[in-house]
Amino acid sequence: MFHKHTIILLALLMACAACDDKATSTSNNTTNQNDAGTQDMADRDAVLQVLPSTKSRVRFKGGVRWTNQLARGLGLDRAQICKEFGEYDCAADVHFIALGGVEPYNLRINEPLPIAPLTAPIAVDRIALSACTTRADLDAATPADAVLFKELASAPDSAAMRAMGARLYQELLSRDAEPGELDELEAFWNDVQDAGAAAPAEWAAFSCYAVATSTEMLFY
Amino acid sequence: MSIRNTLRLASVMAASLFSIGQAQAKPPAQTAFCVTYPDAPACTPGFVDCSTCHTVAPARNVYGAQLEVMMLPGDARPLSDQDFLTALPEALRAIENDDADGDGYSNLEEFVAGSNASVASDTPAGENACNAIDYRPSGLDVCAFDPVYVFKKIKIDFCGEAPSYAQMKEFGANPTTDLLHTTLDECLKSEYWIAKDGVLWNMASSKIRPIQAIKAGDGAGPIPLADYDDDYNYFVYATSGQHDARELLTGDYFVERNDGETTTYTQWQRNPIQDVNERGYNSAQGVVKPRRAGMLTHRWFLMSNTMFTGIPRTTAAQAYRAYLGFDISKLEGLDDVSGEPKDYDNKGVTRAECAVCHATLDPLTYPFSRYEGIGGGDGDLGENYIPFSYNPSRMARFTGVDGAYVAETPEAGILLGQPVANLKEWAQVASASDPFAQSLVGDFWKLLLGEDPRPAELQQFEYVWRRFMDEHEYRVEPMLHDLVMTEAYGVP
Amino acid sequence: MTKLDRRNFLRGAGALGAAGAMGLGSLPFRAEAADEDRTRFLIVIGATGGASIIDSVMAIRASESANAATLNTFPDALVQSIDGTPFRAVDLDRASLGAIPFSFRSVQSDFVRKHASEMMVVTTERTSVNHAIAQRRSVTGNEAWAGRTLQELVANEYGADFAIPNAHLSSGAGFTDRGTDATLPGYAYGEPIADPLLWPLALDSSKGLARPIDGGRLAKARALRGRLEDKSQFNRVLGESDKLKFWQHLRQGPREAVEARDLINKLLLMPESAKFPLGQYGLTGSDAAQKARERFPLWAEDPLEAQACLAFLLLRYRVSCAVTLGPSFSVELRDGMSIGDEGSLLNPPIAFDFSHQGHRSVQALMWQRMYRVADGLIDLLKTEEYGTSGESLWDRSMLYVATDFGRTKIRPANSDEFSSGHHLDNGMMMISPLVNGNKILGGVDPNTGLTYGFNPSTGAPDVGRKMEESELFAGQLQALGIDTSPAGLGDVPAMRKA
Repeated sequence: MFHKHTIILLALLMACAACDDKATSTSNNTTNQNDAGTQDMADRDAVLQVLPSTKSRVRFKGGVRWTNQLARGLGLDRAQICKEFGEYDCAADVHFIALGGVEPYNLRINEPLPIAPLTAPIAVDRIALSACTTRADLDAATPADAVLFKELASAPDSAAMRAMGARLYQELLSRDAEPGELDELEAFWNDVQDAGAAAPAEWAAFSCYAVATSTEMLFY
Repeated sequence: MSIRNTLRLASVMAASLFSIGQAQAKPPAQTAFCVTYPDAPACTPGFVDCSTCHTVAPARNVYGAQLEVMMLPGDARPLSDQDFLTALPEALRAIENDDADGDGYSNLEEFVAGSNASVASDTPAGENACNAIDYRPSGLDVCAFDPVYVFKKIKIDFCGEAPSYAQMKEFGANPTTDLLHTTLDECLKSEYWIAKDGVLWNMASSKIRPIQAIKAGDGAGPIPLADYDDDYNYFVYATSGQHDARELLTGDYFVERNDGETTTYTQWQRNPIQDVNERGYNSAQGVVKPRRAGMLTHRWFLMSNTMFTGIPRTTAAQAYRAYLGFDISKLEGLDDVSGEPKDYDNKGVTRAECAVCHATLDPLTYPFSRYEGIGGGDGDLGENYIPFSYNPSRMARFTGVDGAYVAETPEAGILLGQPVANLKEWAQVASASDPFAQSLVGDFWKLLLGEDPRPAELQQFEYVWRRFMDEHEYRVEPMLHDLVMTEAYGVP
Repeated sequence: MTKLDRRNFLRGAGALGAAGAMGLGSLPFRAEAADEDRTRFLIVIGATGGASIIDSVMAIRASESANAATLNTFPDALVQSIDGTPFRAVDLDRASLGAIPFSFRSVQSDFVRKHASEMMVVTTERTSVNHAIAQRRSVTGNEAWAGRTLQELVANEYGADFAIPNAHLSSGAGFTDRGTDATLPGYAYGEPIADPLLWPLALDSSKGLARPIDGGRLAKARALRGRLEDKSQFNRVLGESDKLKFWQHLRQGPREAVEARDLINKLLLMPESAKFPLGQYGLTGSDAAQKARERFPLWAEDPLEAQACLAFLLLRYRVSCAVTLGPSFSVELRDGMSIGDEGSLLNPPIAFDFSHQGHRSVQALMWQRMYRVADGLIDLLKTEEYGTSGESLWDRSMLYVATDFGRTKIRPANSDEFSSGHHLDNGMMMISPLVNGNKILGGVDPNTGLTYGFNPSTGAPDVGRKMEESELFAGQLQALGIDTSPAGLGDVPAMRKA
């Protein structure tokens, strides 16, 4: 008795095995995805489902890949992301091993740590907070050159906040935000109003932090 | 013991193994289990992994603990092999309907489905969920190969960067497998994959085990003994492009790296004297071309493993572990050779508790004994001594330390049950073996999936490593194209 | 609702099955004794490269050996017997370290005299002369307990309530290899600390940043993250992953516990300086760190002293119950000095293994180095009260000088400096109020330099016996209060304090 996954695999393997090389591999397996791409939103909500994975297999992206992605998404130079004491690179140096780096030559750490150490999520927080506050400050200070939070300086309304949220998801997670996710970001505006004049920048920095340190951004 | 390390075990395990005591695993159980459950996916190789019943043998997992209770309760331990094998089928059946890991699925259901009966988070797949509804995935598709998911993974795994929003959109508009292969080909050329300190480079570290303080060549340490860059360069070369990965063990050349915007690797040939003239004594390779066996005879490998010892068991054990995936210290890859160990060097390895491993290790070590590492022996190395070289009379130097018998240590040995006359033949047998393909493909599997193949994935794993051997002629890159198309990689 | 602390999570994780896949494994094999605080602390100093016991406490005088000229013996005048102890010490002056011109004085006698009552040396015959393998076996007793390391066993036994029970301040040697038993709780495995100076910065999410964020405000951001994750399809599909769950666990309770204790300030070694402008970044450091720096004044230049400082702080603040430190394989020089300058060399290349180039001088320098670090740590721990019973932290600690193996026993006739290779025969040293102090268990044959063993029950010398690694491993664990019967290891009462 084989479960469905195995049957799918065997079918795929047989299909591949029948091919001489990859160039003739089938693309029929992409049907679901193509269909999904042509549905309008209302139809999607009515028909499509999310099922939990039975494998539940993810991999940690690692400090360097994650930080590079963060830098690209925030439009910052890699050197602007985070430096401890303004001097020591957070991801490539100070927290490198904790975030899955290897250093075989002197430390003789040949493989990434098999289990995340306690310090890993804290190091991630430090890097993300540093980068996100930098981006938020830059965008708030020079709206004309803003990268992510273009609408921040002009008392953003609902549409503006959702636009910034959508941009955040596109740049950091490379996808469109779901409406519910935009709802949360918009609602978060009220949560930070007690920061007074700093509220807009704080909303931007914390929104950025929340997405940048989400498991979706850190794992794949 | 990992899944991929089991194929050589099977039923050849000698009775001597059981002299270790009652606490040890029962290797015949691996095949006996599959007599009872021949259709279980975990039995694809003909026997199951030790982890079916053990965490690390002899410690039992929750399923093993259940089984132990049912195995001739009241009888004195250790059970004889005969009693063990006789009692096993009934004991297995007695706990079929139990749920060892408490995940809601019986042990039998888990075996049939290929999930792990001792890990609660590993359950039979959600077949019903995929079948019971008109399932149309929103985004991640957990019931079929998901090309968008795979596209993202390929970009991260092989190019080292997550795809941008625009790239995801573009691929999502035309998510074909051809485009996945094209993307993979591009990434396999990336610096992230092939440059110094890139993915392939880092994969080699556990095989090379570098130490900067004794490095020679570029970035030499204070005590330059050998240049491990030669080893890294060689590994990346052999596992990239369209090169034959068997040459990790069989090549008779060396490789240099050409840094630049795009890193490239090229072969070179020099004899030891030419290499001394070219690179100086500290870096020069010492083994002449006819005696080279890929990375096994590289200076760094010999220097860092053969330290002062006549019969270099550590060297052989590292080769066995790094290239065939067998860690003898974990009782992996044991394959008794009749009449061994001989104990040529008077180390007491014929004692029962030692012979368990040395009956395998010693005969596979002999072919390494003619290669010089760091010194050792009777003090005077002699006029003909050339470090890190092939020296057919090497053993004679150790009689003062290890006794006269050590001089009779043969160069011929036995690997995986096959006689080999010397290390060149050792390398040929090793590189042509299933364990070599399983080990190398297994390294990439673990790199890309983060773990060894799960029981339910053994068929996929076997498909990949067999095609690596048969269809792809040991070229890693075509193998990777297969790997990313598996369900294990491609279904979230 | 039960507080989800580290222990409870791991129990829960085990039930969920997360433990297996995460390598977290099962709970300790036996229930903890109620109420009694049995906690013990283990300090492993890795004497990387082969610390030869006959170059320290078991040194052989030339007059004692029939083979004095060709055996590694010392002129009688150099070998001191320490009154009231079985130990010896070699004090000598050298003008070079192998071929390196470098003058130094090595004084072992001060340390031995000071700590003899708590020193125990046991003889041993190792099973490998390969560095990596021998090092590993020095902390696993040659895989005597399913491949668990001493440090893991101590962390497993006592570490459930510690933030980082098993801290590895050195790396790259087999002393910090991960054990092969995946069934231990996750906290038992070593946490690597690559850089003792900067690592403490990863103990707080915000303090020390250019723009630190108030914890209360950051909590709002974390709450937002949680809500966004709940809505994320990624989490809805893959949220049952053990890795994700473990990550989410770490960033909650354990992180909060670490931050609440202000460990970033407590464990930062460095004082205010231009290089580390603590005040500018809102950091303060701690008095305990200052105390450690005063005891290890080379902390900024010598990585081993930096490790020792941090090891003390980790123990002092009950962050860890097992710490491992040791010299690197690299040359370490005083700032601004070159090899050859007097007093310049802190650590020779490849540590004790530089004995290949100059045995006697390297052993002298490195033993001095081990003693210096051990002395400092012991002194510091003695100043720290444990609980209210008048005990010090040291009263509950064991310091183990782990090493790969011994060195070859021979030398060219009457050579004062010579090359040595690796040798299975050696001895190992423990210093602790918990061990059978002021003892050498076993002995050495002055004509061969080879050691012999002892009766594990009585400690009586046994010339015909070699001590196996597993026996000594058992004795160490038992001295640390750990029941070794689940591993089937025999009792070695001779190694623990009566």
